[in-house]
Amino acid sequence: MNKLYNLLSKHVLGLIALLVLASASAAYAAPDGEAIFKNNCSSCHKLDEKLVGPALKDVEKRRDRAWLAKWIRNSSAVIASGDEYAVKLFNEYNKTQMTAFPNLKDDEINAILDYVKTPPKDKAPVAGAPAAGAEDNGTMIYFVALLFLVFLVVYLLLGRVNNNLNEMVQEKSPEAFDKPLPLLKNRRFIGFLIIIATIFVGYRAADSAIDMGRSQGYSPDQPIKYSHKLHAGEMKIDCKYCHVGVEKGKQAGIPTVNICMNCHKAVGETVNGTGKEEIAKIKSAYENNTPIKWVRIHNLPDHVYFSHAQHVKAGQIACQTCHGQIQEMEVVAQNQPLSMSWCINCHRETKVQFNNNKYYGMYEELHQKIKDGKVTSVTEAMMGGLECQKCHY
Amino acid sequence: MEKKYWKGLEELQANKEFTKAQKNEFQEDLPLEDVFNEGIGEKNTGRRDFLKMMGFSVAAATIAASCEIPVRKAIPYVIKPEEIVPGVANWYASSYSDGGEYCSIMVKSREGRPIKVEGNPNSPLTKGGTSARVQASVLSLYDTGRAKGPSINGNEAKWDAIDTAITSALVAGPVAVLTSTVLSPSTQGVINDFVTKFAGTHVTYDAHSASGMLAANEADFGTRAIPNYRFDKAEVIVSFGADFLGTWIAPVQYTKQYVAGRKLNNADMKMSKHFQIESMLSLAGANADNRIVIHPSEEGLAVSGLYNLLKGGSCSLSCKTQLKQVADALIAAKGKSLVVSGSNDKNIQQVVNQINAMLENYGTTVDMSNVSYQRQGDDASVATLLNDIKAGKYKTVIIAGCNPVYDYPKGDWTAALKGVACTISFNDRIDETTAACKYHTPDNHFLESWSDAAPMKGEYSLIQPVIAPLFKTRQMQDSLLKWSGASVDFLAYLQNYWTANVITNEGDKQAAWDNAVKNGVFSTGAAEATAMSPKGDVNAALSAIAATYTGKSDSVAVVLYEKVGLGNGKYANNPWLQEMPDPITKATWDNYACISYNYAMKLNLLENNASMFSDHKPLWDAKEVRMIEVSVNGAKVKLPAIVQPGMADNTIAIAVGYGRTAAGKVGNGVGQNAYPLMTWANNAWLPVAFNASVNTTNDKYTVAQTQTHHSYEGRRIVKETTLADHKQNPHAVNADRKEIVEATTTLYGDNRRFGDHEYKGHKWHMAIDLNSCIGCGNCTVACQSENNVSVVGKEHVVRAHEMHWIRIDRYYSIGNKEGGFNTMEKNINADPNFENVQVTFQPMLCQHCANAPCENVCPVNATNHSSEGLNQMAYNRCIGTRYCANNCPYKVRRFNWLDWNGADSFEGNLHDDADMANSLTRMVLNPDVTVRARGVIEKCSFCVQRIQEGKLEAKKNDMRLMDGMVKTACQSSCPADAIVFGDINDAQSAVRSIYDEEDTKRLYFVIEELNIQPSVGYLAKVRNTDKIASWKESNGKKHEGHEAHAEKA
Repeated sequence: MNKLYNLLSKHVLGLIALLVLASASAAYAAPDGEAIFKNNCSSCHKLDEKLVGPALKDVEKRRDRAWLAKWIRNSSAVIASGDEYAVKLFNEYNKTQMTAFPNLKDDEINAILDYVKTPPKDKAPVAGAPAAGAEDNGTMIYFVALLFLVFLVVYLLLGRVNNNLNEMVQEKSPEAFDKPLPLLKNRRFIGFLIIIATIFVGYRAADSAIDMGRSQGYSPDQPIKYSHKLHAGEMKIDCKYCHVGVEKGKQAGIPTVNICMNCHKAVGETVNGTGKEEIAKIKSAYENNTPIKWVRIHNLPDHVYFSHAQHVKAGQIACQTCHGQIQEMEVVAQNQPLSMSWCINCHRETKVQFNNNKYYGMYEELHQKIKDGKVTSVTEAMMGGLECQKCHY
Repeated sequence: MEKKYWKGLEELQANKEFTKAQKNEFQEDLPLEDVFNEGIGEKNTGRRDFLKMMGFSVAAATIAASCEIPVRKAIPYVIKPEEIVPGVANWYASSYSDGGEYCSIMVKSREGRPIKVEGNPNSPLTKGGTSARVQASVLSLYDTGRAKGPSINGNEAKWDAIDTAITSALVAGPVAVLTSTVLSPSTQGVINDFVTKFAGTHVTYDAHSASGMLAANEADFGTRAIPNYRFDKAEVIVSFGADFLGTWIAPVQYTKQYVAGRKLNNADMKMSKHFQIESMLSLAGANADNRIVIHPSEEGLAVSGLYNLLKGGSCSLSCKTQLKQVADALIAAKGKSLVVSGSNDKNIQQVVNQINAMLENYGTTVDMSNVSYQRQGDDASVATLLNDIKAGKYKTVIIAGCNPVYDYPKGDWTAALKGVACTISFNDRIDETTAACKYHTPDNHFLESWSDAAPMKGEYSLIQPVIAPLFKTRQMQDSLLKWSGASVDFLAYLQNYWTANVITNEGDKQAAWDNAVKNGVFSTGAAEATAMSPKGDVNAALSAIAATYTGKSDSVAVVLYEKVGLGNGKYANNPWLQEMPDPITKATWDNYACISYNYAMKLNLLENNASMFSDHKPLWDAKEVRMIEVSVNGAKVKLPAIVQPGMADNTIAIAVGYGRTAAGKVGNGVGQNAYPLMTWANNAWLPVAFNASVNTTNDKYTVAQTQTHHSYEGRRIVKETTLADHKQNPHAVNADRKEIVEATTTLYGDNRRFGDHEYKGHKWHMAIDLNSCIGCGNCTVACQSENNVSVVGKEHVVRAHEMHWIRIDRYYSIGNKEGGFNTMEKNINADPNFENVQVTFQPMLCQHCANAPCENVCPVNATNHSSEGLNQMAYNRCIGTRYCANNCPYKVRRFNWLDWNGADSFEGNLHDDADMANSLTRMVLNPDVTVRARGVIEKCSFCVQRIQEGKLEAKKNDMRLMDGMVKTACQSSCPADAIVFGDINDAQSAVRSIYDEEDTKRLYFVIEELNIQPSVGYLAKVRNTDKIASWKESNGKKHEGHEAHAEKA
């Protein structure tokens, strides 16, 4: 009993920890310069060494903030305006166009520059909550297995006792018992077996029919051995740098070859000197103008409308929620089932950006409920997120 | 007694067949018996057959189940074009300009593939409106009938070879260039340079020209052009047979103006008054407040009669009393009236000019200072050209954008062209004329081209390519430039032209050009409209009219007209247009002879028996009508005759544009060619023919008319009133609604707007103004384009299988609002030709009921209600029981009887009359909307994909969804602004203000008494006429119904 109590309390604690973490991450904060820098700039810039673009340390000593803001939002306009410094810089970096960020707000740019000016000291890695969850899951299984074993032992013991008693009675008065029918000739038993078998087979059939067309874990070989682990994990290139459509439209988009070439114009191999062959494939695709035929992993049926912009831009969902720990994958595999129940579950459980997005201002009744404390957070399901025509039209 | 509205004579007659058919949601039973009789159900189907079938099913299922998921590829660009984001649409401004037709448009392109055309709100002319042809033009881009490349004598050839051959042929001698109206000033420049270089001529040919009007204006004002009409400024509009809402000159522009002059505003109840004087029921006539029906031979006399009446003289026509009223109305609105005529007779147009001048309309509603160039064809010079070609005057003849072999009324163009050494056609396919030409150098589709257009003086418009040419075609202008040895391509030519002639006053030329490309239009400013007086000799015109128009109303005459959808026949291969029901006859896929009831009786086409009104025996076979043979001066057509209310007696109306033989798979052999029936008079082709003779035949023919499909069994669903009544008491038109509202509130509580559902967020509603809707049917095609609605083909339209999500119900009625003529007998006694028929149009689409009858009966919950008030349809859940369609009181649900879009997946399995099931045509499909499979129900979704897109746009921009961010396809396409869509929970929305404003006035819901709480509100129609019924009363005839009305009054 003590053991059970311990397990339960552990479980509850884990859940509470999860909740606290989740709510903390949902809270709104002033623009985080470091995050914006990592998302938008770090793939081309480092603070203290040249990458694709110049090192940014002391950038404000070279140019003032107003100029920098203009440059960040649209560098080609600054170059076109004939700004001497800009033209020089452009030529110095082999006329590589810097990506324009017209949507960055003033305070965001200031936050970046603040970060560049005084980068914080390295932080210790935060202990991951998912690990605790996994442990919990494990203990649950042990717990169930233990229960099963206990019951099995009890069952066998009782059966033994029953048998012994029966034998004893039979010895005393054999006429009290009919000769028992062999089990396999017993009609009831056969009927029972058939029903069980039908249910079992039916369940399996339905289950695998539902699974038809799903491909969780699908990880085909790709024409180029591209590693997310290297690019997203070790080099920490932001997902959005390559998957440019993710905040704009339905598709996140497989990066086009010219995006690869932004870096691979200069980078021909990894630090260990490997990957020459694979990088050469990109270069040849670029030079011969032949597109790369990647194998598509995530396939939704045609009658499902899924928009990345809705989830990533409006919903602020992390890529990993659906794609798994992509930054650790050498070869990409489909991490989640992409089934309807999986979608629906998330719509039931995930909180929307209810207070952070002005769009939701129209749900006055819900806002009132939050004010009155009747509701603490709003999920998609509360706004009709489970309805057919949210995804099927 | 309540006024009776009916969709067709069979309904009015309540004939047995019709009554039986309309009781069924589906007009025919499933052919189960046949299936059972043929095989599987037979009594002697043995155990072996059963096992065979069982085995096959299991094997098929196993194979299907064990197939591996196919490996799909994701292939990104090598270098992504800057503006393309996969999954996000790009919009480009352009212009639809074909012949004289013009519309400024926005083209929606997905991943570089144009999929939808919308109106361009920047245009001061078309103001965001479109027409059905504009909407359907995107489908013509993916037409399988288009030529895939150049050819010589029908054999595929290389451009180089053709260029060499033509360049050497051109030096041989004079060149004739025959085009349809060229609206593009820079193209005109290219043609001018070309004909100058090769000592040739350029002749403009329009199949249905406005030669007469152009000649009249040249004689009267010295300008060979069409004036800029202002229907919005006119308080009284009189049209002599000009269908200015449907087909005449610039219908989109005129509709915008017309509706602006008739929008009712509760503060200031004013609307223009529209008289239509015509021989057949046109779209404009159907919208007129008062209509005078005349025989075609009286057309000129009516115009001169009105002229005389305005001068204080007299008129001898039988309709003189009505004409006098027209004259009085015109005089009362001097300077604010407008008289137009659709005639191609120069004399009539000259008299009309005189009338407008007499009424001081020049400078106000008729503007000759800012002329329109939308028709330039000159019939006389085309006739001269034909003779010259026959005489061998030209060594080279070039045809561009016209098809005289098919549509020139008389004269053998094939033989004439065969006699010329070098004939070149720029047409987009090997059509009738191209087949007679040696070289075929196909032009690009306009969505693949650069060009411009000047529809009006001072108004310019650009055409930009939105896709690279799909086939090996080349723009006409580039070909002409190349053959004449010019060093520039057409884009450079165009830019030079604009710099030199259009954007001359702009400082930064590049910026001005870029802006013009972005906006699609550019104005150099209008000149001030001035009063003018025509210089022509009116007396000569009057006497010429008297000579041409005999006024013999007992002779048989033919009127030729263009259909609102198909036009002159150029787009005969466009299945959307073929299947769009004609606004008036509601017929698809055919042309036919429209005749009046009386005339049909006279020709013995109907079963005339003594008890015809009592025993409800069908007067004619609704499915198969008799054919008649019409001949005029040796030209003959044999067509099915349909009885059309509103026709003049002894008159046959026939649509041109049919009977193509080389249009393509869809258009070939549809209907009969009626162009040969035209009459040559006063140097122009008149679309009428006098002294026709008619032979009836016993042959029968099926016309696919949709008018009685989806019937309401006589329920009262349209409301109308007169302007005078409405001014007096704006609540009167809705008097009965008050009762309904009270009753439903008592029974069910006050849930009229929201029903039993709780709508926390959006609640989508639509308001349709029946007073603005002109019934053009454009929304039907716009919806088809947006929502991937399938085309089913004639055979299936006959079986009521058409798929349109929005249809326009067209109702006829005779009689005033209290004492209508409720039976055929009374109607015929009162008005044997149904000449006084009044027409009401009602767009009908899914009403998204809050208490929807369809939702309750679905056994699998495939149709259900959303929290935003949408009646949702989940296709993948639907198992095709069709209970919902059966239970829908509005009859707006459509069932997919066949796989209309993917029929080509098995070879030889094609049910594809419309030629839509092929990889080329499927490129037109909207990727955001599911293509429905066979066996499921579909219906209007309120363009849910646009709603979702609008919401996402708002979220992305961190803002609330503002009114107007979501527009349905029907709404944005409507040239009459009759449809308003929005969120009723948004206090700022237009639909909310209409609901609030009109709640007890004109707003009503169709069959509201059923408490189904629909989300589409209609605003009652208001007619600007004193008495609805007794228009003919003043003529001296007295009818039963009128007396009843008089008594009540």
